[in-house]
Amino acid sequence: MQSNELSLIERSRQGDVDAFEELIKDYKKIAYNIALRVLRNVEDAEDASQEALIKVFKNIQNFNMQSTFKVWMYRIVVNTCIDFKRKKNLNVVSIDETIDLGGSVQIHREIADDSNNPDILIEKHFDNKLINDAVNKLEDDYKTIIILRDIQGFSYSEISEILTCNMGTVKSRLNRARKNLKEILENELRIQC
Amino acid sequence: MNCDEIRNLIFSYIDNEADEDEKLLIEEHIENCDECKKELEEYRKIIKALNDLPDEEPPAGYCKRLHEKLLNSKVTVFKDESVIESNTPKKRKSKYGWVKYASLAAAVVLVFTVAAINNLKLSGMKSTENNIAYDSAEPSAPQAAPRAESPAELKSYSVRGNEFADQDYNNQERIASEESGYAGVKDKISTMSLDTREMKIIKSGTIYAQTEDYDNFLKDLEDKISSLGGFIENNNTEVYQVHNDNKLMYGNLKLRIPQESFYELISYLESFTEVRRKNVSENDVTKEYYEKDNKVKNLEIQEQHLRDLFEKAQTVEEMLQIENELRRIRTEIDALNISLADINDRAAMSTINLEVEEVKGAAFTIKGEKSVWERAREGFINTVNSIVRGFGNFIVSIISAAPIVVPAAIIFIILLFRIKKYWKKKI
Repeated sequence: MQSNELSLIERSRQGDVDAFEELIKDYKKIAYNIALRVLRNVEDAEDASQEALIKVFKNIQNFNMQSTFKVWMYRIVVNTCIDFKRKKNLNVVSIDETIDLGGSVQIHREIADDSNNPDILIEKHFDNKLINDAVNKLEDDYKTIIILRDIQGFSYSEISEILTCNMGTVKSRLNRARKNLKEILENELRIQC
Repeated sequence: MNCDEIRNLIFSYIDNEADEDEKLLIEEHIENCDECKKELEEYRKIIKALNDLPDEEPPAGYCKRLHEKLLNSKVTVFKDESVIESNTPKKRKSKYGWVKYASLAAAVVLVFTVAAINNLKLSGMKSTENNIAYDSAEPSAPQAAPRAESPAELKSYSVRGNEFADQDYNNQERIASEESGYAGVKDKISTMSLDTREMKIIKSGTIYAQTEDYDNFLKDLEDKISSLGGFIENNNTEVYQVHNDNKLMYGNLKLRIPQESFYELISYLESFTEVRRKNVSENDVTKEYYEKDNKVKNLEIQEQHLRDLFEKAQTVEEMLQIENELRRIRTEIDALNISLADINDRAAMSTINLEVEEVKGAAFTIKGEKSVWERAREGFINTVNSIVRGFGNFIVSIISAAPIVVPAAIIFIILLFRIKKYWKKKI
């Protein structure tokens, strides 16, 4: 950890708002973007990321220097966003489950499991919307890990600290998340064809 | 090494987090295997696309609003003592204070109740005094009990939810029957169904657990489930990591279990694995179920009417019209019956989604490296526990000895005074 960051942390602990803002200058955009990806909505993303940053400020006394400040901060951001989502009870749509639209209307969502045109992923070009939609269809755990690793580019060890789980779990969850994402993409592209 | 094992390794390879041996293995394999090469390319492309997703700029004024919130939070955090600037934490404080005193009072009542009952058992005398003590203690016991258990259990909460739903349902029924053309019939049905109504609750759970021996765990689990009358609907097992020639397994299981054994299975899982995440929900669909059920009954009555009409029909046109209508009703009935059967099935058989991960290596290292801090913590907890226990015993023994000790102490003090006076007189 740089000495500059250390002194900023020290000043933030004494309640220096300016020092804290300097400290999170490089991180808040990423925090906002993580929130935006989890919550998919500009207002919620702002509320949740700011709530998280304030939590960081209030709890900076409890930061024990065992991990880097960055990792500790993002842990709070990720947890706050997930709690925020849970509280808002955004309807989480699982990808192959019966969805009840009230009354007697029921829709079955299923992922088709035929791999007849396997070259579809290589040949097609993905635009940002397609990728975004596919990420949004992932389950929360998988989405979080894809956001952290593939969109924001954290290393495995950083992710294991942010999510407080061991490396094996990070690897296996990432594997499964990517496999799921690939299936979703293949499915989407097939529909487009 | 086969393709499946390679495919679990390619992700760390893509991320540059694979070690040298794995790298070599993969590169060698890819030279000869077009399938895996293609897979690798596909993932590279997806990951690149994810990487290239642009970051959004926070909305205008984001920093300013954050700054204000930070200043506000500073007021509450750093000047907690000042009354004017932070009245919200003050309020909260008084609210918590109430809870604190209430729980303290409950605890005191509880201690006295226990002591009184204990005393009764210890002395075993049949004197009237004891009877009085017992009588006065009894009504306070149920008062204290619910307070102690007050962190409401999921179960009791959902029961309350049901009551509410029932009320709602009754009201709706009444309104519906007043409006409906089939008023008489519907009324009969609703009163009938109210008597025989059975709760339809769909229980489901998600559990994420770790185990040290996956194969044995799975075998035991299978036995347990079949003994409970359930089955494994879906078993998806894979090797997710190879660790010193040990294959570490990962399984994603979907368990179906008769709803009455749901909690038994969950506690079984909790005792045989290390549960990392658990989510249990009970979804009440009673209202929905009986609404559909009533719809079916009404439709059947309608169908009967149409059949009667059909008998009386004279022209072909009429017959065709009635037949059309009959077909429409029949399809609707069938659709409703299917969803009723579906609800029945889901209510009778609960679902548990179980993720199990084998963690041989990880568990060993944690056990091996029990740090000084951890041991100190254990010791600390043990000490605190024994202090609490000792304190409890102390109070119990004091209170149970009180009937003897208090008069004895009074006599002792009186004697002391007498003796002092006596000595003073003498001097």
